[in-house]
Amino acid sequence: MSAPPPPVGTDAFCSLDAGPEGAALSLRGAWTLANLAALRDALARLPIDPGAPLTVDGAALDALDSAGANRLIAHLDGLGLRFPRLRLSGFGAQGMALLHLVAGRHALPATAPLARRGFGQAIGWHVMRVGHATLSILTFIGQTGQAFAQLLRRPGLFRAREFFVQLEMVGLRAVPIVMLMSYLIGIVIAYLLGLQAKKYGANVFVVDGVGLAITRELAPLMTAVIVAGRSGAAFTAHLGAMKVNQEIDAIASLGLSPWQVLVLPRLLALVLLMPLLTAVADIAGILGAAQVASLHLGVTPHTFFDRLQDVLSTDTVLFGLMKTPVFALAIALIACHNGFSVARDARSVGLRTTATVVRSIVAVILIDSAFAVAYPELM
Amino acid sequence: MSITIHNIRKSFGAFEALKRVDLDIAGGELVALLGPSGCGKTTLLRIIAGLETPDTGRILFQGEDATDRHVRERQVGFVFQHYALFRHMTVFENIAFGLRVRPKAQRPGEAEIRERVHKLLDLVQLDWLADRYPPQLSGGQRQRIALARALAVEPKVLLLDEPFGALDAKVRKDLRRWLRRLHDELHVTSVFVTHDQEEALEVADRVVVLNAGRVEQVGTPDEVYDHPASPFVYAFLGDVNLFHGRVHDGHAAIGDARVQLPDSAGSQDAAVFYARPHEIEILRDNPGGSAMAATVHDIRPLGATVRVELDRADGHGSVEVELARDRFNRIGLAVGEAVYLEPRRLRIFGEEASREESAS
Repeated sequence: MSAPPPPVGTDAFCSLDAGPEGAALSLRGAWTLANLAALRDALARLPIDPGAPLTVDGAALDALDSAGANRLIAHLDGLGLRFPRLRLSGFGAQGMALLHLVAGRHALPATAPLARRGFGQAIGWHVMRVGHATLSILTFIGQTGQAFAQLLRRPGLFRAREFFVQLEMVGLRAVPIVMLMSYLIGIVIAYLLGLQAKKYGANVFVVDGVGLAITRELAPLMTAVIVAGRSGAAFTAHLGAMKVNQEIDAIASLGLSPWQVLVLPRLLALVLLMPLLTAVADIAGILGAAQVASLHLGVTPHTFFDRLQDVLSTDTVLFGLMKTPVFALAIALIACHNGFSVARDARSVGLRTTATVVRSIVAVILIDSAFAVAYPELM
Repeated sequence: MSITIHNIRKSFGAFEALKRVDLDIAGGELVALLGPSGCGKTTLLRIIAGLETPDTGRILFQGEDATDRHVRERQVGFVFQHYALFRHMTVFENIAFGLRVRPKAQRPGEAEIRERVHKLLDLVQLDWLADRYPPQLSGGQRQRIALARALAVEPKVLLLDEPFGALDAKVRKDLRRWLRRLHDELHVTSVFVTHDQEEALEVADRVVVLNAGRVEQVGTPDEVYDHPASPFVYAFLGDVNLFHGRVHDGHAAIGDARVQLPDSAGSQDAAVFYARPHEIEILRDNPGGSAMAATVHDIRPLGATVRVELDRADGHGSVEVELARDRFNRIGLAVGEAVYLEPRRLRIFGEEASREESAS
């Protein structure tokens, strides 16, 4: 090798000499985190010939830490100098171990850097993401439908035990909170309408407003929101934890469909119970309103319920109840889909659970507005 | 049941987990998939199970194409690293689960289920735990229950994903011997994934060494240990000392030292030699002038053996030597002493191969 006369580059930290077996790079001083910037500059100034073997000598080093070792290996790696054309000497056992460790890490395939996206790219990226998410939920709905069809053909697949457990969890245990919420909403609405009606001395007309608002909109909506927060979140958290724990894979490997075992019992329980919970909410809300009416508006319970019977049509109540299985379907599908989409770490369970609550509430309100628009057609 | 894996590839996004894997597993064999984390061994196992679909390639069970068969129809038993027991069911119910959920026509009667579960509990030696819940068991017990659950459905193939990975060293050793005995009793084709070379060498009939999505070597434990096909396999199966030097007239020239190579002729300007710590002799003197001078840097007793770390006198790094305790006592080494090293056995791989090794 025709090398320039030594020394060709010197510095406080390193010097490069031409030797008999290729160039020799001698390191000096403390190759540590504190000197990182100086080390980078020192290395950048060295005219290392990437085509020839290089011996790195660490005998004169005061200190070497992982930052220094990383800097050295990264620089040489960038020039294309790797083992065995790269030789190390005089580093001692610890230094050698450190350098080999760092070199091993460098040789791993690099993960793609987190690139900053331009505006156009960002739009494209989000479109793709929404596309993937839509495809994924549609696939999930399809698989659920398939599982349901299979269940209809072979009712023996039905997991009655899981279904009844869910009935209790989703239904029975939700009754107190649903009643309390609805009762309070009844009170609030009766107050609100009462304040207006009092001005005109039309106290008794509060009954019309309260009856309509609670049975047609508020009870179904409030129940759906509570169920989304309670059961939807519970579904996602439970299925997500099972997924992290590979229990869902275990179910599949035992020859079962996770849809039959996990999704359908939950979905059916929710669809069945939602109208019942809403009916309970209707009653509690009206009781709350009746109480406000008798205490503050001078409408006795007797008058209240008489009036209610006259003005509240069965159609209105039925319309309110009719929406709720659709809400339930949306909540259960979103919750189970999110549960199945949990990645294999615990953090993902939390994220998915939050997503379930937000998405199911949005979905419920969207469905509710669709029903409101379609009301004249339906009734 | 034999398994044939043909030309399997699998990518996750931009990451290629498996790059063209071919493998044959004979019926009744116990095979270990061995490799570092991220080498694709678990992915391969999940593809065999049907929990994952390959991008290309086919899986044959007993010569029949099973690639498009659903995991439910493959009749495999799968044991997961973290047991994946159903937490809200008792041990008994966990094992019975796979039987109870069968369609009526194939479902055994309650008495038969009871008998089979107890037989399995006997097999895993945990009959007294039938009424407990999984969180009340220790890790080793849970894993044995998980194995019983996988065996309950009488699988044709048993797949184990790092079955002992989450257990402590002692339990792990007991369990892997137990697994070997169990396999000798049942003779069901089994594939298990591990990153522990000791485990693979001890338990398996054959070891498949995987690296970066490729099969590096397939062979019996003796074959892969004694005749590693590549530096990667060599380094993965045990501790390694690396020497840079030259080959000259059938001798390895490492610094001042010359070591006779058994089966190498010709010359090579740059070569990398590999030697295991127990394949290097520590000598007090240097009669032939062919040994390497070194100083003792550190001495660590490890039970029956002693690990000695030495710095080479020529400054080219350090060497690890492992020797039996009685031999160590006979030499009587102390830190700082000057000694000589003589490798009893050196191995060279081609220049290309060794470069790949350092790049991996």
